Amino acid sequence: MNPVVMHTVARMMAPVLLLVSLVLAVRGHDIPGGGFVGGLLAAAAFALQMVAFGRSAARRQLRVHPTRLAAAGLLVALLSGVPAMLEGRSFLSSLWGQVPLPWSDGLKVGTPQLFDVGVYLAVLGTAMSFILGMSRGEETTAPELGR
Amino acid sequence: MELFLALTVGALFAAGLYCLMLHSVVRLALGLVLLGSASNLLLFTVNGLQRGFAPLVPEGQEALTRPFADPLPQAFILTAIVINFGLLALLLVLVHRAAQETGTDDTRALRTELKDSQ
Amino acid sequence: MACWAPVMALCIAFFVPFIVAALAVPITRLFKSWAGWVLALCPAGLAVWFGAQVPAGVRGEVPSLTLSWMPDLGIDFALRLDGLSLLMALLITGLGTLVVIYAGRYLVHHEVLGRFYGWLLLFMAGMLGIVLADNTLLLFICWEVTTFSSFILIGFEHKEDAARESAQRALLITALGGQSLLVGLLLLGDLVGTLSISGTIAAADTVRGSPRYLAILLLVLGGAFTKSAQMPFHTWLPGAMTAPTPVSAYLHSATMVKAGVFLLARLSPVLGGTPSWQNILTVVGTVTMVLGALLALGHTDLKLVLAYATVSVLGALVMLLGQGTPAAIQAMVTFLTAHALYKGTLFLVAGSVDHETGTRDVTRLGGLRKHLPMTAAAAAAAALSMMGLPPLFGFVGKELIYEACLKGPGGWPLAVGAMVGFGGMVAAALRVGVQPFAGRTFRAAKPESEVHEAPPSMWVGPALLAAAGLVLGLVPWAIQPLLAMAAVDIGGSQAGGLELTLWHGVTPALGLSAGSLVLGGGLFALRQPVLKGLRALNLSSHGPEHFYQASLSGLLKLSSWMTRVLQTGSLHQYIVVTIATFGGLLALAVVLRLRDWPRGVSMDVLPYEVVVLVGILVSAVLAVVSRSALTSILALGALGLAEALLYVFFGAPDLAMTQVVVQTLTVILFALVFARFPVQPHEHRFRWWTAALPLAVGGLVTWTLLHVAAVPTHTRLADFYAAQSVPGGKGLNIVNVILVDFRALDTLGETAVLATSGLGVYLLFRTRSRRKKRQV
Repeated sequence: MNPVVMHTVARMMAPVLLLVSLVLAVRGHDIPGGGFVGGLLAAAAFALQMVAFGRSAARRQLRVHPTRLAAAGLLVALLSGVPAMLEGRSFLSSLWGQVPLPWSDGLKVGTPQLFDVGVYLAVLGTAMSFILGMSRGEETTAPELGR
Repeated sequence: MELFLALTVGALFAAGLYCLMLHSVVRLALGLVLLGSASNLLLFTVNGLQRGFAPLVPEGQEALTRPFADPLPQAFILTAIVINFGLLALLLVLVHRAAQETGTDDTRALRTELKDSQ
Repeated sequence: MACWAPVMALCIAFFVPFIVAALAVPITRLFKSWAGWVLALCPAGLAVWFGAQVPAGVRGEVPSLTLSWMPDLGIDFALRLDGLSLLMALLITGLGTLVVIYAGRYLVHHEVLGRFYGWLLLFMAGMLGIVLADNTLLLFICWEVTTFSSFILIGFEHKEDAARESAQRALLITALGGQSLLVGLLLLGDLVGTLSISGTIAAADTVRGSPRYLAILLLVLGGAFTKSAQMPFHTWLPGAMTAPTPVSAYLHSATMVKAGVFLLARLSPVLGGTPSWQNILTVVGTVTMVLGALLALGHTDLKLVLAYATVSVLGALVMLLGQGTPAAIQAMVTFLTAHALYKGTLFLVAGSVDHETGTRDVTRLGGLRKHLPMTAAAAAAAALSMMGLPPLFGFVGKELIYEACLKGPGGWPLAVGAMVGFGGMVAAALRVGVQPFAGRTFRAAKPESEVHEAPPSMWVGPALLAAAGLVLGLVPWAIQPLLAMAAVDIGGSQAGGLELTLWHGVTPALGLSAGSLVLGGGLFALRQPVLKGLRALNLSSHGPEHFYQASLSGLLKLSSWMTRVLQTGSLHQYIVVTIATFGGLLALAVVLRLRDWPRGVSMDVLPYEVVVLVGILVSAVLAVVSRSALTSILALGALGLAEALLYVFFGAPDLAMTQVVVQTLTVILFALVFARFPVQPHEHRFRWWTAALPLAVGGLVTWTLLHVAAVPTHTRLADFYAAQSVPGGKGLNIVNVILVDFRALDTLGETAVLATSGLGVYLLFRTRSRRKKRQV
């Protein structure tokens, strides 16, 4: 493929893919989607960046070390189970509420969405650590997976 | 349809297991992917299939009425796909690292090479 | 109904030893050589409290409490302090106090004395737990606490081979027994529908009438007999003498080995009174009693003699429980108490002698009474009690045993058996309690000038115990109410009315006593020929001992053989074994259950579905047989996409989406491996014999799947989720609701697994390449 076309496509697609992945993660409760597929799609978006612009560009755009991302995701998923315990229900029970919005009768928010975001981050971090790790090739002797 | 899917699942199992039996780590990874697909399709078939009708409750309704595809195997398969991916990635990284160390992907050679380098 | 104070205190009494055990190391560090006295405050305080409960117990108050612990499993934290518990608790804490004080001096220079105290007190906590528990599983947990702490204490001098070997043997035997006990208790709980001990006792008739009774009895006996060192499981107890002497005195004579007897006593209202109970316990108990006494004569090590004598006594106790008559129960509790007092004394005396003279070999000891007067006095009193001479408490207990034997179903034969056993014990008592101290010639491993009386903390314990044996012999009514309570708790109200007197008049029992004294005296007088004869017979290397050694080495051989055969290090072999096992199990299921031709499988198929299925098959075959890596990878991608299409057709959009993305990433990963490191897939030719096993397994999978899919769809779960997704989970996408709400914990776990594999990858890349390092 022509590298110019490739770059253009990659540049245009990346934000779209990321946006779609986030929508999938947060809206997954009502439409097909969810944290797993969202996180994987986001990883695919970064993989596209890597194919087009190289490994270090993708790593730069990720901003956070992938292992940290995975750990943070796990932590978010864990924490999303805590509010229910404060109400005396068992760990990871769901809590839902409505956020009033001026243009509609309210936005549904709940701890399962937070859980999905946690899964999203964990999957993204893990998949990125696979992809970035594997693409290091001959640079493997450098001690850091990131930069 | 179950008949044909069952035959396919059996064929996928045979293909995946055949790959596992070769002395090549890369083939082994291929075999794992095939086995993963085979298991997922097995789970999918085991409780009967339903054409169309995803397990999505229509907007505004309280409950889903028949017919619909069974959501529970789907939930299982969804996690299985992702876990499979993680397993495969780990294996590929191991292959990659082992190949870097030894320059081979033959399990028999790998064994002696890794022993020697200890 | 008991008031709250004793119940709360009971709960505290249960937990305090555990806490003190945990704090033993810092306390020992803080108080150094005074640590024994300080730590003894814990058992001493408990002993005082338990003692103070006796009057209330006599009035018939039974403090008990039940706290819900794992209600779903029926496991409650339930404690109950009845007469039997009270008697045992007093023995445990009372002896515990003296042993802790004694150990403080005996092991004063030991480098890890704090740790020793920790385990000793943990043992005490477990032992108290056993006697206080009113829930079979709580009892079992405490039971295993004692097994484990005993293991550690036997192997305390772990630098010595013998200690390690003995500890391993004790653990193997008692822990195996523990497993048997657990199964027995669970069967029992399942039968009566409760794990509460008092509840089980209330349902005793159900148990005795059940067809499962014999299985439960044998399993529970497996636990009790191993713990209480009955033949043929006794071999661990003499080995346990490698433990420091305070441990032998406390665990392996006075308390832990009685846990088995206690368990039998506790459960005798449930399991007792049947012919099988009576026969098994009487026979095993009598054999153990006689052989134990005989074996005791074959040794010259003070502790070994005492250990075999303990085996003998445990046999007597079990035999009495087997008889089960009110008189036998009364004799059992009395003799148990008497034995704890004199055997504890003699062990501590043996420790002092060892400590002061440097040897435990009785043939190298003599004339010590001048040098260790207090110890000698205690030893003499205890030995007289062990021989069953008036006016010591041992006499009271022994007379009761003879009477119980004569009046019980065993009759004269049993009484004569008991006489033989006691004869051996008399000889053992003379050997341990008298021989080292008597005689004119001083003999020891150290010169006479270096041998002197043990320090007070080491004679106060034996002296107090021996004195207790004397006092209780003179005024047996002092302990009568407590023993009577315990007897009632074992044998029911007809076992009440215990009357302890020192002098019964001239009865057949007295004649038997005289007989055992004569026999014992004779055995002692002929000790050289007896010893030689027993050594020549070499009893301990036959029978159970031989069986234990043979099975242990057989086990080791088996496991090394298995390791050799299974753990060859060849990945290919592992895989073949795994596949063959999987296929074999499937084949078994097919042969046993699924022989019929599968029927009722839906066979309708639409044209586009056929296309997709063919696509899957073609890409699978291509991925397998292609020699080019690129073709294989692309085939894999195509296969994944076709699979996603199937998910689309059959109502699984979430799966389809996930599958597409995963397949994309998989292909990228494969491509990265090959691009960065162009390993060509190994050249291979398709071989039919390699393909035979996978093809067979694939066929079996298909066959099984056809059968399973033909079963009418099970819809209960699907209907539940369809109905509950919106009201319960507030989501329209049921698959997602299952993942993040109904089964969120599973998902969390799987996410954690995934993140861990990511971490693994990270670490793999952090390790430097060896090859590179070598080049540098």
